Amino acid sequence: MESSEGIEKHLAFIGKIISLYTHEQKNHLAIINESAGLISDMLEFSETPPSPGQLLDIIKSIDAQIKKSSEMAKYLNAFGHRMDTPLASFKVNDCVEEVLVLLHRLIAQKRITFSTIYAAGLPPITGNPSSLQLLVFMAIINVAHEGTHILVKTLNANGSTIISITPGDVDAPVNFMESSGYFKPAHAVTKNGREINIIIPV
Amino acid sequence: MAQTRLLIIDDEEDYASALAERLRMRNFGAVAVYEAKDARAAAEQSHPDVIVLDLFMPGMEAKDMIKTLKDIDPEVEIIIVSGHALPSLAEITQTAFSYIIKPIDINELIEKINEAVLKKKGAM
Repeated sequence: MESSEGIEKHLAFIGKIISLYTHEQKNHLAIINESAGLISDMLEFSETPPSPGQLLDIIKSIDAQIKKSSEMAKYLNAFGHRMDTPLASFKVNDCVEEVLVLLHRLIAQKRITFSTIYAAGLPPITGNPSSLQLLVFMAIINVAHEGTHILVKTLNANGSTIISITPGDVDAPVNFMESSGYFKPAHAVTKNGREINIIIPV
Repeated sequence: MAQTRLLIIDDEEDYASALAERLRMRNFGAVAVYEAKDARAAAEQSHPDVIVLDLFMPGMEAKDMIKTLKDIDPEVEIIIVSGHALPSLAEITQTAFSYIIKPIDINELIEKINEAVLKKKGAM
């Protein structure tokens, strides 16, 4: 059972993801809307009809946006289903990837870049995956400074699965400390004051 | 009648280029830039009557961008366009002429542009 503070943070996290997602979707719809409108205008206003090449370019743009929207919707759907049950067996890499994809709008706005190294063959984790995603989100927000590069790694060490989050801007402070309350028995530590490690005994 | 000059600033290139093209088909003088860093030079060169500005662009704080554009031409009217639907953005948007949520209806945008031009001419 989450504490009231934990519930508040969880709701704020879900709200953030929903607002970022819908903002992104509205951008995709805006591109589709203008592209479709452009085809319509070309047929209505142009003295000469648009060439097949012109139409194909615009249709490709619409197609690309639909694919992006569909991909984002897939991740949001999975994110929502993480809350189906408070106790589940899940793959850490998928859980982390969902958070990173759904943070895309925030990342782009702040000109943040990510690189990821996901360890293969990690054992499944049992717990509340949504709570772990909250923990990953909090860690990323903590280091998400304008223009920085963030390295996200998963690895297995000493019988634990570790999610490691390292910001590239060496001058920015990392103040993310104890957060075990959000995903038991995981806990987060900072290494050399820089790298956040979320350690999950398995 | 002089053609209304428009500058579209939006990092979604497909969106901004299509919108500019559609506005040109309706006899507006529309140019688009896709990066915040290009906005200043474009505003100085094209002397727009109205700027259609995306609220959230990489590397740009909207209120700073509005100030920069207003410093270049205090008379220019700015219409903010965004996928962000929160009314609490009033502080940012109060210096702009209007705020439209994406995806836009081009007729609604043109109505706002025409109103902004009238305001600029002191007719509103």
